[in-house]
Amino acid sequence: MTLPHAHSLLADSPESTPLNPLAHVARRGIAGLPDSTTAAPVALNVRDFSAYYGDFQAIRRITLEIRANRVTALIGPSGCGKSTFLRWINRMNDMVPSARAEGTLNLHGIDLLARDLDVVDLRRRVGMVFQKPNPFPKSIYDNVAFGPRLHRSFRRAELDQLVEQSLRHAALWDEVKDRLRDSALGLSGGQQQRLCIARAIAVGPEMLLMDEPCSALDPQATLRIEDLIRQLRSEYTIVIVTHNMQQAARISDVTAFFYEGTLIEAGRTIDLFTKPGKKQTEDYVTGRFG
Amino acid sequence: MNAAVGVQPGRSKPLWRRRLADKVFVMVCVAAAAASVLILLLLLGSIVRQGWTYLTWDFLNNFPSRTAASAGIKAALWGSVWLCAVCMMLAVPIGVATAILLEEYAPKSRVARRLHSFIQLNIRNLAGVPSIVYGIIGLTVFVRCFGVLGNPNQYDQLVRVHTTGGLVAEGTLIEDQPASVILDVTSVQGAEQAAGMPWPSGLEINLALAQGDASSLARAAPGDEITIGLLRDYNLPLELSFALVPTPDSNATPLLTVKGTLKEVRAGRLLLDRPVGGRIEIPSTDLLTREALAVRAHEFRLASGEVIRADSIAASGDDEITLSRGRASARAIRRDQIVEYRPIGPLAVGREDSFFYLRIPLGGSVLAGALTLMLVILPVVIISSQEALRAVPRSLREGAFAAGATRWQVVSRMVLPSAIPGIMTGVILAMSRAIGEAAPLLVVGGFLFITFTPVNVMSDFAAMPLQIYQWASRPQPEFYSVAASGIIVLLTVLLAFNAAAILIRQKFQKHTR
Repeated sequence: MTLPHAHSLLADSPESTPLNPLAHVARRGIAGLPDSTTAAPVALNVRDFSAYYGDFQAIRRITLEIRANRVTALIGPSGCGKSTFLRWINRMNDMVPSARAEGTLNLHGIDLLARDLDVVDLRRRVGMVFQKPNPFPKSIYDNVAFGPRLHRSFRRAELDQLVEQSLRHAALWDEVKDRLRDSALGLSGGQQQRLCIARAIAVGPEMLLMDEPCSALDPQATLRIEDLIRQLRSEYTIVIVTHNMQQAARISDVTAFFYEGTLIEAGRTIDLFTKPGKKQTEDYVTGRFG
Repeated sequence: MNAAVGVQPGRSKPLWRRRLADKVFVMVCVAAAAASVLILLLLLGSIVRQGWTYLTWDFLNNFPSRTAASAGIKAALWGSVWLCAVCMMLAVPIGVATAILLEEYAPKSRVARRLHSFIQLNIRNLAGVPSIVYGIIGLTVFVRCFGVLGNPNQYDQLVRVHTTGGLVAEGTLIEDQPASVILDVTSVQGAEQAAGMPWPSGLEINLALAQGDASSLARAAPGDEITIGLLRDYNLPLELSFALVPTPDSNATPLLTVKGTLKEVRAGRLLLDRPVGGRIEIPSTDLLTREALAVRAHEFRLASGEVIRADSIAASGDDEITLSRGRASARAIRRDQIVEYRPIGPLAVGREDSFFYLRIPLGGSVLAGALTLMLVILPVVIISSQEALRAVPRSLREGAFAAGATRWQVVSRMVLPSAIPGIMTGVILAMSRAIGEAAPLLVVGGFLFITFTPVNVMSDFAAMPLQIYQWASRPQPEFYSVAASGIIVLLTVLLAFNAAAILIRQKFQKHTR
């Protein structure tokens, strides 16, 4: 397993954080750059996708294209199916005995709903970051090395390098480089979440799924994670579930609004927030319900 | 006006009464806790006080004896160590693997889910089954292997006899009448101390005595004529001098010396059924030693060419023996028709006296005892391991799965390491139970009195609870103290187990804190 993007990422300089939620969208508009939101290739093709828990239909025939190297935000009230959708992309729902799905979920030509799909390989390609930081009760180093070690054996120096790269990409290296052997449980919540991101990217995925990654964090830590997401965008396709509409507006290129299992509307974030096409969307983003 | 605030129907309870109830409750709790601790201390105190006198290095290093002073716990201590070690090696992998299956590999299909919950329910039920029941299961399944491979009870039927006359005879013991001697007593010394004492294993004349009690000797007076019922493996010297000495090999002054002249020897008979030439009869006046040989079945070839296999042999007449096999009807054979005899040993791997030796059926061996104890503690190990696995947060499993781990990788690299402290706790509890179990071992065939330590898993064994029980049930008050010493040793071993387990827990918890 190699990390194709890792080296190029090292050269990336961190962007400064714009405080205006729509600044990056606006800036792009002002600079007159061609709108690349829809021009990017499709990474994940969702067609007539439905998901069930037993008899309960959690997702009703949604159709959506998720673009490569873009941040797609999934918003909507609790129980609208956005987390379920996210957990189908890397088949985490396999662990729920009653869960089943139909329709098409296609990642670069791979049918994600196939029964004989190698979920282990899929999860290597599609990383996931959870709502609550879940560092393993191991050292910081072992946390990051956990994923790579699952897939093959490494020489010491190789692994050291990989761990360092991953931690750098997750903007955590400078804070932990002197205590890599300490328990990861000693880190702050925000650091733990960045460690989880480092852990997810250490296996070299092409897509990162984030399930409300900032909901357990304070505003300061949230800002740092958002910063990080913006940086990671150039290398990974990111799908993020969030309850925080400001956050969706700040970090995403595309936003999809779910309501009661149905995809109400999806489009460029700036469009969805400034001129929503549906009444329900407008009500939700303006805070009139939800 | 103020009645509007917090008005509740019914009578209000005065504050002082609620406070009093609170205080009384705390006092009751403290009293209960203090009482239990006090009882424990009292128990330990009395045991230590009683057992202290016998608790010497010799106590650990001596085999059991018929005298309290020379009694030791060596055989039982090592027997228990062997049992627990083997039991742990069997129960921990099986128990943890079962717990992993039940917790981590939850089935998807409906039928499998039913089976899963059925197994789960039954494990909980099994945890409450009395241990004696497991003893019976162990006896049937492990000791006897359902009797399909021969009866291990008859393993020692084949004996080899060496006599002073140079005769070595081998055959099945079909009759055994101990000889007895009658003694004209000339002098008795030390009767007071020795009264009530059983025969020591080491008499000065070093005879292995099958039965008898020193009290009959102690009661003797010069001029008396006493009969000593005895003697299986020995010869009678012409002049007898019985003496009870503290330890078999010591030169210490005998406690009791009875001197006399031999008046009469009533011959015993040791009848060996042995192939050609009919019976071998060994007179009791010849010095003979006997060794038992393990055998599963006996094979006789008759003059007619017929071959008969038998599980057991009995003498049914002077010239006849009766052979029987399983439930088939017994068959009488004339001795002079037998032309060849061949004992058939058990199904075995390795040599009997080497470290590696296995045989089937297991008989009353360390392995059978350990397997039975395993049955006793397995439900406890499984349930506590399940609890430990369940306590591992779901988020850790999800994190590991999301990193692309297979089920086994999740279990081996994430769940098990996190659960090991909890699993260890359960294993300690289970082992504490195993080391204290007496009933199932008694059923399976633990020995109350042996003078050797196990050499392999097929050896006979004694165990500390059995030994303590045996000592405590003896009439002599000295043996109460010996039993107390035994309890101290048992508790020490138990604490050592716990200490070791705590160390292991700490080692594994280092990174998780």
